[in-house]
Amino acid sequence: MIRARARTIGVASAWSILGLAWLVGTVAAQTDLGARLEVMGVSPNLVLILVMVAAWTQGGASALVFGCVGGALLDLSAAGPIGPRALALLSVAYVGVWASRNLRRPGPLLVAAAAAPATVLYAVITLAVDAALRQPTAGLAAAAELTVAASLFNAALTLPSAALWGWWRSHPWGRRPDPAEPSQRLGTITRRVQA
Amino acid sequence: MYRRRAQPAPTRLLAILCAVVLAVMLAGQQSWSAGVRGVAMGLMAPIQEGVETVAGQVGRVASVLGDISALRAENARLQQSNATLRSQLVQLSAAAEENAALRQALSFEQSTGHKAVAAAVIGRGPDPYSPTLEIDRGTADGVLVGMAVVTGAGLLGTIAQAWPHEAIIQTLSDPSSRVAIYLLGSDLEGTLRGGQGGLAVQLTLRAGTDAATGDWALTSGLGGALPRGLVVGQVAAVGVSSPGAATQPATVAWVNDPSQVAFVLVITDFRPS
Repeated sequence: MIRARARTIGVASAWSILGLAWLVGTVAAQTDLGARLEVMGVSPNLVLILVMVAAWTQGGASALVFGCVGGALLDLSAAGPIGPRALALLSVAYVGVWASRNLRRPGPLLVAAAAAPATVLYAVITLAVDAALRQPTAGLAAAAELTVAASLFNAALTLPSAALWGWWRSHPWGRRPDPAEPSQRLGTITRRVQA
Repeated sequence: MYRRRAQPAPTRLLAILCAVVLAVMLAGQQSWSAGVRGVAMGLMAPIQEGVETVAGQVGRVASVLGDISALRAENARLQQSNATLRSQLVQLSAAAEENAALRQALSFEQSTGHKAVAAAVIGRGPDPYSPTLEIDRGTADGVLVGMAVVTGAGLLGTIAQAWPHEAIIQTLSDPSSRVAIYLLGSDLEGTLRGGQGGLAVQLTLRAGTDAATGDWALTSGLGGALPRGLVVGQVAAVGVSSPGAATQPATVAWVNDPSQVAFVLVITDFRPS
């Protein structure tokens, strides 16, 4: 009983650390490499893409935590208060989770399609909170132009990301191990080899 | 691969996390939060530097591989020697890049008389709504909020926030940036407004003097926020002012492109008033 509980905690901790490392890596990539991928003055929002994919494949809690922590880390790297991007990505995660649970046939294409309105939602909340906090914001016309380009860019990048993540989750190595059955993964691989 | 779930969306968790974010936002207004933020930035800085280094190396290796494949057609011996030379060139060009930045700092100090600190760009704004740059120098290096930041080409922006070992630059791409300028030659003065693409400026008209395309725009030093004489850009277009108007609109092509900037200079001996 105690051993099983310890194993459960161990697996959960390992996955949490892995998730956090993945998130920090994505934030660093967005703030460092984003400009290298710039098209029409817009760089991809990799954290938003991660949150959308997490909302569809990992479940509500993971997506919300990814959105909150990822947004706070993005706010850290911007000149301004911590909060606008965290709130924006929390909302994006919530809408993503709601959509994944209510749409009939969720799949990579729908995740990509949902990334476009999610980007608009992100922009609206970020700019609204910035304005409420009297932070300098882009003009309405410039912001609208940037948001349209960003929506298309994020949607285009979400499609391969979601497909890749879906493939990885279906792979034996990408599945979260069940703590109750430590040999499950080995069993799966063995069965595949036998087949 | 994906299956439909019947559970409701996790509204309670959303409410808790929103409350946490709002609490952090409120705490962020307190003066002590700057220290906490500085520590967090300090923890993130090595990761950002690591990613930047890896990306640079991957880019250089990719370019070397591309060159090697072109040379492969000539002959194997030349290819091998070329690969060796290229790999040395990569190392040399990285050193040359750093040398150029340091030489730039030295020549800037000699030509303008201002003291400057050279800094590497280690991060960029997280989205297009926040056109900022993060550098690896901070208050420990004499970098303070409000100081002017330049490149070899000219004015890049000002320091918006500074911590012991990092600082954030508000570039002229930021719509809230304002710079007092004058045009070299005509001496017309005006206030330049930041923004993406061309920078809009309202020039104060003087009888018998006209702005012309190609005129250089330099900081005028008015207001005491920036030192006089820093190059901002070149007049790209001059608008038509209405009869009797005291100002004339113009557009200035900025000399800098923040997405291409890797090293900057922070002018440390000019304290903005």
